[in-house]
Amino acid sequence: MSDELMRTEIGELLESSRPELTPALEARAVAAVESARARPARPRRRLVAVATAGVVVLVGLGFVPIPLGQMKGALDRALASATNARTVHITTWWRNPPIVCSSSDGSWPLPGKGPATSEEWLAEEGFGRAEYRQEGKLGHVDLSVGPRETDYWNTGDEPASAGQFFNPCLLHSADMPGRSTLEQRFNWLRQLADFYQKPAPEVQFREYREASLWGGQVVVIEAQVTITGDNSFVFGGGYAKGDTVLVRAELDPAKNTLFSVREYKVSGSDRELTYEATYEWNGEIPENLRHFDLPAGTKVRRGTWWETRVGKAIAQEATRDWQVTLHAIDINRHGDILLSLSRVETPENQMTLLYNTAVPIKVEALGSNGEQYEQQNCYTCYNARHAGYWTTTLKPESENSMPQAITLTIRPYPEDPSADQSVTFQNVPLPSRQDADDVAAGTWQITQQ
Amino acid sequence: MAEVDVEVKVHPPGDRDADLWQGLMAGAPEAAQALCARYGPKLLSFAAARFPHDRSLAEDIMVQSLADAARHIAWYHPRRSTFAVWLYGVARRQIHNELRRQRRLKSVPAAAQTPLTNAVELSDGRDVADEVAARLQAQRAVAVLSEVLSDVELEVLVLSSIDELSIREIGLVVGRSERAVHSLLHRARTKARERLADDER
Repeated sequence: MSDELMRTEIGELLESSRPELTPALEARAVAAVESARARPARPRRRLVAVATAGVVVLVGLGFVPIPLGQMKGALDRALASATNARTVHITTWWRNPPIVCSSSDGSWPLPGKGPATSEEWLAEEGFGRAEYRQEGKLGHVDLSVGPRETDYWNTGDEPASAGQFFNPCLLHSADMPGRSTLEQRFNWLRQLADFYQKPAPEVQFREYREASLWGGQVVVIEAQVTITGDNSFVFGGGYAKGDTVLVRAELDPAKNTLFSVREYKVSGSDRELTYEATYEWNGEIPENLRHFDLPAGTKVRRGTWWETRVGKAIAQEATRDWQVTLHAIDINRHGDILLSLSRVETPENQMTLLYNTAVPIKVEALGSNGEQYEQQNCYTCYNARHAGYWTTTLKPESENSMPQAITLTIRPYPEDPSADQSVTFQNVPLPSRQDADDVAAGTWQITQQ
Repeated sequence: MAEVDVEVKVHPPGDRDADLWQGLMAGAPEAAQALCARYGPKLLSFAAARFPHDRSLAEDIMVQSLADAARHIAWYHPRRSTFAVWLYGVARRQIHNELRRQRRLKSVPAAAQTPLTNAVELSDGRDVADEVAARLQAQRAVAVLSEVLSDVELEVLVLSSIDELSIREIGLVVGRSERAVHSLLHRARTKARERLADDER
């Protein structure tokens, strides 16, 4: 049934179900309207007084924007309120979307395909669902229930596929905050906070109250920045060096909650909306969203990498700011070592602006036979504010080298203020080589063609 | 050539509402009647969808919304929204006030769905029993929709169906962005379509 037919059918249903507007009811309504009609205009001589009173009322009600100065407390309070939220529902729109999410299975959105939208629902008990659409077509779904995550991709060129895997960052454990699904979203809000805390003239601020359509007030925080090319982080994407971007956040001053974040490309007096995210807090998540039935024909594979490694600890040490755990060592047929590592904030960690632990772990390695290893890469998708789970490859100088053990010097967060902190795991025994080029790829099992 | 009754819309709806607005501002009696005739049934549908089991409450909300609109007509500004959008906003506030009041009372008053007296009053020779039965069936269907849809999904679905409001206008009424309304409407229609199809089976 088309939307238009649906609209007609619902309209007819409402028409049929509606109580009749009887003559008696209509008379009652007319009488109520007449008795409540607007007062006649005041005499002219009182116009000035009325106008003055009106201005006072309008100011009081927020119809006249009032600059509030550098009142950064509003956003801080909104973040605190978000941290205490039970649920959040976020609707997002991009005019020229950058790559919003990607994995080995695919990336979204498709370049050059026009505006894109997403809807996300997150709950404190460890539930998250995100649906991503472009041209109205569902391209990607990410559903997480506790640490179990399903990633569905349908980007057009290839048959639809899905990965089902274990995300250790969504575990609820002594080391992890229990609200990790929400926590991931709060990272974005913290990025907003960081954005606003950058000093002028890098970002120009304006903060004021404004009236909503029906009389309530919102606190508006605007930040304007010029894209420099080397530091172009903003939410919307699609900007060029020299572009001026305005980020506008609206907050509820009574509940301390974030209503929306919008981003505009500014040209003179024109503003072109490029990004919009609206937030609804503490609503109920519809039960039907807690499940996602993979469409027929979806190729499904299951990843067990972290599921079989997260509970193991070959070695564990802590610096002042970070606890580092070596969960597993895997070696491929060429002698390349793949480490599974995690870092978790210690209670002493004072990094107040930390919103993302995407700074890679640095590893120096020396074989028991004197073999030097070079760190090749460092990957994580499993990243929350307090912890990160990483795999990194160490390549030997010689493929034929066969050390029995390895000494690892690990800098968990090689940036200030933790840059000089490191742990050393001495003479960690090495397992035998596996008959595979890519030991991680071998752990994925195709469960449905 | 046979004469045919044709409603000729000389003015776009906005202009008709401009006359209505000015009439209400001036306290003209004919404006009160025009307001009730033009928007009474729509507001009644809007309220009845939220309170499908309580006809008298839906009527009260309709009357109160119209009276509130007349009382606060000076607050309406045509540059901020259309008159219809503003009026649905007034009605929505009445509905939410009632929902808040009911939550405080922790009980929902259950009034008769279609009193026989009203049914007789409406009779113009049609089969009253059939008409009442059809209405009760439609009321049950709306009640089912109100159970499967969230509050805001029901609102956008009803607003899109009882009046020709644009997505943007619906967004102004419910305080959501156009994108959010588009998404809500899509979801609401999908759920309603599935539910109505189930009921037909």
